[in-house]
Amino acid sequence: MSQQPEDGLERMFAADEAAIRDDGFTQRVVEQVERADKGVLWRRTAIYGAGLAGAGFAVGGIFEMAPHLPKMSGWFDGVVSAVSTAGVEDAVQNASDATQLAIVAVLAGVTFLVAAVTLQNR
Amino acid sequence: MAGDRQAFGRLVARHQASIRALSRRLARSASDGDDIAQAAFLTAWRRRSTWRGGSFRSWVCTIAYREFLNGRRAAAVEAEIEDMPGEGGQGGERLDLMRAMGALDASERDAIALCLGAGLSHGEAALAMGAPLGSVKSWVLRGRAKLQKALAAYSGA
Repeated sequence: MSQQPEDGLERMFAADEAAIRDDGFTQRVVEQVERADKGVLWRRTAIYGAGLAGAGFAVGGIFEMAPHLPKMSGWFDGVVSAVSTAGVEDAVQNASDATQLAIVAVLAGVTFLVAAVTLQNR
Repeated sequence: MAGDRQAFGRLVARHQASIRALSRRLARSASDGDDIAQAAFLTAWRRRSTWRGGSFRSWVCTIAYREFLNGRRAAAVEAEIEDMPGEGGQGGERLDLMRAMGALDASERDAIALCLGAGLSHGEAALAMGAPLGSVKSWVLRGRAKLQKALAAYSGA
């Protein structure tokens, strides 16, 4: 207790607290903290590793599918002409394949990042 | 990181008696209380990024109280006062204090342990207990009166 006891009760509480010896308690806590940190290190490595692997698969998937996707310049021209001729709804329909892949990849990355940050703070 | 741990170790060494005293009073057992205190310090380390400054001791007291609520209240049996070592040559007085604490209602005991024992303000205790400020003040007042009556033999209590 850092304060001066105000009455008999607080004096008794202060005496009770003063009678508690460390007896290795601090050392045990510090050892637990070290063990906990090692656990966090492994968990972080596993999560970041999984995240990198996931990102790699996502990028690889894009390259794998590249030959089958419409060329971006042609796709863009197609969007412009589609907007001008068929209206916005049709343009969105045409663009959906490529953008969906990009959105899924970005969402996967954000999910991994959020999971890593959340778990490492636990 | 190692420097952080060393600094944290110094904080633990400085405040361990306060936190253990609080935890022992809540659990009414030295060994269970020390387990709670240990868990509280570990939680404090893990959540150190959430500490908003202010009193480290009050923050860890609040964590210790929640650790107690999270699983130890059910295990708190009738005062295991034989578990309390008679350190410091004041065993009789300490045992009587523990007995008197054990006779209080749970809310009164918790409020007394947090406010009179650990030195938290009524507001801090209300926040830790998730109770209205007025209730905490009332519990402290009633608990203090009961303790003073039970410990009248010790002059000034």
